Amino acid sequence: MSGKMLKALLWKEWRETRLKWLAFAVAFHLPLFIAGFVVSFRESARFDLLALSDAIAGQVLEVALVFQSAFLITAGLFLLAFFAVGSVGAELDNQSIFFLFERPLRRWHILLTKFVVGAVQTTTCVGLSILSTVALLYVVMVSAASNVTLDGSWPAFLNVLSNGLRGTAWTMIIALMVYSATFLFSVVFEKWWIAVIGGAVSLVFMFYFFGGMLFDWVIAQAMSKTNGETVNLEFYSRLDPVPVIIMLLVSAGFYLTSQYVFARKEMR
Amino acid sequence: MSADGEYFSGDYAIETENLGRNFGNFEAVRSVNLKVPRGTVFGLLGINGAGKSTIIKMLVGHLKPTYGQARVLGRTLDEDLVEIRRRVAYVSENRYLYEWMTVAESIRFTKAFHANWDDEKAASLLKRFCLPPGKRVRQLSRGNRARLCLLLALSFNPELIILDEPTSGLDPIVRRDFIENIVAEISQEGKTVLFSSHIVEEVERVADNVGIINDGNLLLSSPVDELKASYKRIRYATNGTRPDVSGVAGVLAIENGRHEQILTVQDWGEGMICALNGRGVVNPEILPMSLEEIFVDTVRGERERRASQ
Repeated sequence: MSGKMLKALLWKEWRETRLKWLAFAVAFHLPLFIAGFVVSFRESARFDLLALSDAIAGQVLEVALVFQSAFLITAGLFLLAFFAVGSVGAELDNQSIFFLFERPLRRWHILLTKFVVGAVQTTTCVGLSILSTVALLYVVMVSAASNVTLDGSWPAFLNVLSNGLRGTAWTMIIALMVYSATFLFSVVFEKWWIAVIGGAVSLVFMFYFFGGMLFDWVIAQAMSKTNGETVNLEFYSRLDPVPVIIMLLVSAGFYLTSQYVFARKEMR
Repeated sequence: MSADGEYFSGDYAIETENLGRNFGNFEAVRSVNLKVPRGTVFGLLGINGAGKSTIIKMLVGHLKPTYGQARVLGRTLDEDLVEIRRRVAYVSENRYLYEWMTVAESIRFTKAFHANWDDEKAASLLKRFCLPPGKRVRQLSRGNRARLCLLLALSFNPELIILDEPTSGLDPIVRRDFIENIVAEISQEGKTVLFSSHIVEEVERVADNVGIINDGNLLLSSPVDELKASYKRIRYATNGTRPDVSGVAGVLAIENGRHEQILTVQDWGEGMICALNGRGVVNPEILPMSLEEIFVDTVRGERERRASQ
């Protein structure tokens, strides 16, 4: 595949998925939107915000980091899967992918481009949403609360942000794994709506049985060693190689299975 | 199966050997041996569901044959499908395009995949087809979609153009333009064209060679002129007694009128008259057959033959 072909394929993928970036950006900031909504319409919440001090602001940022991470690896990944499940299925369903099959391209080139664009889109949106949430919250607190000073709260913000970076890496890897599984769904089912229903049902079951546990686990890890009085960011300061490698291998397995299925797919 | 080198020669743009395709228990294509000579227009004729599209989809690599093999421009499909797609244009019945792209975007996008893209040709076809560059594909009429597909197919100067039911769903004016002007023009450039149709008139108008397919079987494949010279109708008066001509070699169909009998024969030759005279046929009148008559009688004869088995 030449550079020109790759550029053309990337352009097509960008044009087809550009609204998804926006959808992801909105979906992954839902807790922030809800918080903003509450502050706007509840006077007591507004009072709490205005009365914040430097020390409390630091704790708010820590809680926000934990809560956003917990949101992302449960409901956020569900949203991710919901949006991503039709990435190949939609093109198989309306048969527009035939247009590419008639070009001098290998099938794995077509699928790899779609996978990379989708994976970059979902993982960056998921990952960046942690940092943007913490950053936005910090800006709001510094500008709205008169007792929160830039000098006083800056070290706490940097501490949360640096731990948030590791949290971002974790979440991106988990998001990649969920995306790869969803991508496989999308390749297997030619009717995109079957893929959506199939994906949604399995994810609902998954989160029904494990979602609450996972959410509790993240919160419990964050509260451990502090008797629940404050947040322990030690949980985010580790990036153990073993689970990271396992998750990356699982993602690669899903992707290679997608390629295997796609290569054998017949276009009737 | 013969060795690859023994069966395939370089004179044909498309060669298949015992090509077959099953969908479950249904045999869509049965042991087809098709040869499309280079530089000719080959019309694949058959009713809807005869297996034309399945053959074409196997030739362009969208479907894998259940058995047999095929060569396109001297290359087997397993060998190098990418190279084949560099040199072969395929316009399908469904005219696959990206609906959200404009005409200009479709052209620019397709150009990126073909090193031989001819900008001048694309511009001239755009003008000739009166396609609005800024209009989205989803807003185009069926005729304009067909024209855009053809523009995209011709602008990279392919050696072989495969058109699967290219006029399907088009109005008669567009259809005539498509067949008479476009296909004829392509063939004048020395390119090979394989097109499928269920409209005999279209095939007769432009094809040098014709293949008739029915129920997945390629019943015949021949140059149109030879076919017309080979197939005749023989009409004679019966005067009360009907001669028994059923055993005469080459008789495909017998039509009994009140005072006459009409035979459809293939492999026509003077020797056949002698054989018919021997059966009591007197003063036979030899009538030429149109391609439509040959098509109908061939398909009907095949159906009757299979029903009697």
